[in-house]
Amino acid sequence: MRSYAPAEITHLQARAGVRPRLLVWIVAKDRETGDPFPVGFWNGDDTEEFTIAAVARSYNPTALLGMDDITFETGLKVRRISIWLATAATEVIAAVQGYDVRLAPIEVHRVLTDPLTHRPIAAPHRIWKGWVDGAPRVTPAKGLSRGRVSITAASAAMALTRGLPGRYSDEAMRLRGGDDRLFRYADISGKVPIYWGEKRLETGASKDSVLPKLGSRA
Amino acid sequence: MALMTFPLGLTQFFDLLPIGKCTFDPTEALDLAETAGGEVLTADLGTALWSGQIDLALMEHHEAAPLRPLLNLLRRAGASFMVADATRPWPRRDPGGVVLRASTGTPAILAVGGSWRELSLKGLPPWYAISAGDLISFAYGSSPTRFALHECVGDAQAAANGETPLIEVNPPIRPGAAADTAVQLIWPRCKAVLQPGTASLGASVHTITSEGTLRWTQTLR
Repeated sequence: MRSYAPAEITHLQARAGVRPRLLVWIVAKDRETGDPFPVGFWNGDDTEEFTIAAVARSYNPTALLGMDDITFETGLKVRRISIWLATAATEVIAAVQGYDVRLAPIEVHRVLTDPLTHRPIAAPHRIWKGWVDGAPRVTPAKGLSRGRVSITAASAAMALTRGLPGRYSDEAMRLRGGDDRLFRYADISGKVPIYWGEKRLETGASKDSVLPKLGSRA
Repeated sequence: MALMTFPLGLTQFFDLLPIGKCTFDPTEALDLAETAGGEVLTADLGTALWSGQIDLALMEHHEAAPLRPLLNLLRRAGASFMVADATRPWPRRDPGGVVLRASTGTPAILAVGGSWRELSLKGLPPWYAISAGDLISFAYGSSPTRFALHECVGDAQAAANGETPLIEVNPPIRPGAAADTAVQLIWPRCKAVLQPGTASLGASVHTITSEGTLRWTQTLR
């Protein structure tokens, strides 16, 4: 259950109409420098700043056409929702095609605004966090409208599908700590014949058959 | 003549239209749930922008001819123009805007109310009356300049120093409107775009062009 701020609870209990708005925040990447390029879209009517996690974020208006319904569920399944941005908005084209949005972090917030004053009642709530997992652009044929960029936003559970970034090697261990030599011989271990007393251990041989059994007099 | 720049000003387009019939309303986009209990519940999904329809009066061909290139210019992507309410060109208690034009002061915003639904004006002639339904417009922001258009909900009167108390306006004031912004009470205007597919100069018979119509929606950017 989402915990609402006291001001929101008061507003909801008043039953005087609601006016929710959605905020989408994508941290794209500059293709040349690799610097993060944050860009926000919301379905309000003008550029507006919202303070989220103590940082003011500026959201571009009207470019957000809509998004899929979010289903709350338990478990580690990677869920994907579509978020539709208008291709007629220049900010969308600049962000999605001018910058790299592949696997860019994406956040969706929902803010309740007052239907009379249109001002936010409380800080926005985050309702989705994940990564961009595709952003195909549809340009409508002549006579049709509603061109859109369908951003597929995978949920944060996609992090669990990543492979291990580190290897079982000396190099990976020394990236972790420069003087950590635990895996110094990891890459040749098992490949170099060594002597145990008089017995030569051949590489690739099964350890069970070669290692002297405890208590044996071999 | 210099190239047309957008938005086209009132004198460049709107003033030239022979208006036969017009509407001027804010849009509403409500999610409606009428319960079996008879209760009508609403949620606001859209924006409160001005929109309207202008039906053009009968024109002779030579009158319609200069309008055609302008209308066709506005069909292009990104084109915009300024639009005003032909029925409310000046405050109701100041027909023709005579008093305001004779005044030396510059009407401006004195303060924006904390509720974002009210503003007060300054720089008006002493005891100047603002009535319900009067329109106020001002420009604010940058890249691009936004144009705000609000209608007064209640009456107000300026004091001897030309300052009014807070006046409730509709739609709510957007962030960016600040004190000292000059306001227009004569021909208040907003920036608009043609709704695609709705503009037409009508059909022509023998000597008359009739049934011209266009629909527009306010745009902030």
